[in-house]
Amino acid sequence: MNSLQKKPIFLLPIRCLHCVSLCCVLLLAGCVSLGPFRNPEVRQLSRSALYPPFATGTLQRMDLSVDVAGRHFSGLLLLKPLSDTTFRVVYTSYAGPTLFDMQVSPSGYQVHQCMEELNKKKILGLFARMLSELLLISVPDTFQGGVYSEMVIQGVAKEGTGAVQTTVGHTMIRTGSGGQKTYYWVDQQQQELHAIRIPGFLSGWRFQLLTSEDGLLERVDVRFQSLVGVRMVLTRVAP
Amino acid sequence: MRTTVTNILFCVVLSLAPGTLCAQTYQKLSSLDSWMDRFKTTAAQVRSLQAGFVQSKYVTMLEEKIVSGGTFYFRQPDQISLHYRTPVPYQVVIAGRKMRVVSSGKSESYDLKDNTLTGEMQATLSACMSGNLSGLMNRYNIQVFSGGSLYKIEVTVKPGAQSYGISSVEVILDAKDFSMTKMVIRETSGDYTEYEFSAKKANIPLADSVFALR
Repeated sequence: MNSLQKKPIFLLPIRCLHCVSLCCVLLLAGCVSLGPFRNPEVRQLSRSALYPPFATGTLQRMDLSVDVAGRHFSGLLLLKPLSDTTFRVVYTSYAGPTLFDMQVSPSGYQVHQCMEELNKKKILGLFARMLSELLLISVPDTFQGGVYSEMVIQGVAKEGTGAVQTTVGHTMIRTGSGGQKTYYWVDQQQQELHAIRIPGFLSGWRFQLLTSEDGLLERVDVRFQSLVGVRMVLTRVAP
Repeated sequence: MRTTVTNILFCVVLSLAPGTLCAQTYQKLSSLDSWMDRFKTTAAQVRSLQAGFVQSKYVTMLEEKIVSGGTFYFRQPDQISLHYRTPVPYQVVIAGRKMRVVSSGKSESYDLKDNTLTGEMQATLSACMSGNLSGLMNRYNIQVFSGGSLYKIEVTVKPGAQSYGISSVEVILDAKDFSMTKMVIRETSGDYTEYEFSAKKANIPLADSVFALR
């Protein structure tokens, strides 16, 4: 006799409801990680307070691996800053051909060249949005930000691996307001950006950045709230 | 005085030498039929090939050169395998219309019907390795040039034909054995990729695993 037969059959929907409720609670616990942060101190901040990771002025080379719907592909991403908020980005296959060449700026993105198979608005838009958030293109030079200092970010520590696990003593900065909030975890001592979180049930993004001991950005892990199974990883490639 | 003149002459000769070596002059072959027969016969004798290669990709807009390299494998009639060692381990295997790419330890298989640019590259490369250029003539203009110990094949997209992002392919062959020494793929954007082959070993046994598609 199995366990389901021990209870009356009319209790089965209630048991299912319990399971659904438990799943909802777990799901919400995963989504909402900003619980400990209340009443931030509102300050006038500059963009540099977020320590933009690609603001060195030189061309950066990163391996960009993309996992989508069980498929995997990778190539070399070249990022050249043309100004603080405008970047020329070339994604090229290791075997030679250029996959796409675009320019991202606060006004949007402009495609200069794209391989036929990738030349779809949704695909290019996803890459452009990812780059725009990672390169802090949408952050104004100065902004009113909410600052949460020297706190233990337990919620985030549960979620990820790598840089975000070291959360004690970090500062969290919130930009925007209403539905357009973005949260940045920065290490003031190391002067490094460690994570970016854009909340949203269907439109949420999460970036985890790992910096090496010599201050170079080693790895960025990008996850999408709404696109389960889609993952992008950027890894620094030596010139 | 004599020493100074000698030094100047020496410097002039030194400064001209690399240019002379690089700027190989070629003359277009007027009749291709006999040359293509010879190419096909000689290339058919190379059943397999292993070579080192250096790949230089020029991104014109960024004025950037990306250098990578590894080992190139070919087996008749159309099996190609590129094992990159630098800057990151990466492997591309093409056999017929199937392609396998191994990156970050993950293997992915593709059907080249769905990947037109790579399909065209594979068709061009296979044709130049096997000596059978006739299959390319529907979509491309083919010109052959002779220069010293080298031949140059220029494959350009015919006006009106779909380019798939490639504007031309240039292949340099060793006149002695018709083996490929260099290939340049030019994209319509102006970017181009050079592949230089060295330490070529023909007809050595190559393991099936080198061309495995799974």
